[in-house]
Amino acid sequence: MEKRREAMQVALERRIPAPPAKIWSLLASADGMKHWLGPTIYEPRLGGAITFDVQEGERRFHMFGEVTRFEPEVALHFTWTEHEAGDEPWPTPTEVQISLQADGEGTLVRLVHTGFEQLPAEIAQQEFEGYQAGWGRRDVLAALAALLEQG
Amino acid sequence: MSIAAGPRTSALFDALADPTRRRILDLLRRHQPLRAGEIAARFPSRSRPGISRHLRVLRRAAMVRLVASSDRRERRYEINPAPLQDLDGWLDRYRSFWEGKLDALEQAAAAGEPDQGGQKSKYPAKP
Repeated sequence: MEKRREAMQVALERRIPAPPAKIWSLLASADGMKHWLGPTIYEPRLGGAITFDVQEGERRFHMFGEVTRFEPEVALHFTWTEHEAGDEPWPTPTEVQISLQADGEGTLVRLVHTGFEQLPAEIAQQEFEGYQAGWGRRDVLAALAALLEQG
Repeated sequence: MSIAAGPRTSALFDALADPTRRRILDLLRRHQPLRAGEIAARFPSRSRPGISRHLRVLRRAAMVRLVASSDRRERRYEINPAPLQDLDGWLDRYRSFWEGKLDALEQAAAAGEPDQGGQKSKYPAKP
């Protein structure tokens, strides 16, 4: 719990052994994005659209957003609004911020998905409870697996 | 999980929706436990009753709790970690989603997937 929580966010950082130019060409080109994000509709420019579908267990949702920063070999930001089948889309977007920094022969890739605290309380609550319901099911399965192991 | 769905979850998100309350949580995380007066002193631009109101909202959401000092002469606020840990669990969905995507990015970089400018070198022109 040492993390700051001025904003609710997910932050990841990793070093990839390839130069920023190489990473950028994969990260932020329409062709490259298919290699890591999956099938995507994406316009590689500031203000461009980005959409893709996410399958997560039984949940299936559509993500759409807009490129808010496009700075070659430095940073790609885009908004992230979820639209789950049968539901209204989030009324407020979150934002994904990916930045690159040369690190020797490699690149430090930092990804921050931020702004979850901006979701209206009722949406966040719905999402959170959906997550808890899913978690509950996993707990049951884990408990079952543990029992079987003991048996 | 420790949070019941329903009103309490709603209180949790209402509590987090306000930037002053998030700053109070952040302050407590670093300096707890603190008396109400000590918390208010960190927000000179806010009225004392205003800060009290925020503390009440945080308490109702079970994000902070009041603990009595050992001599029972004063009560101080500290963070109740459970709701925030549950929230971390929620965000873990996104964390693992992005971990997977960064794995894929790393693999693509290692596999030498053609970049836009590199397409030509993969299909060299015949002499």
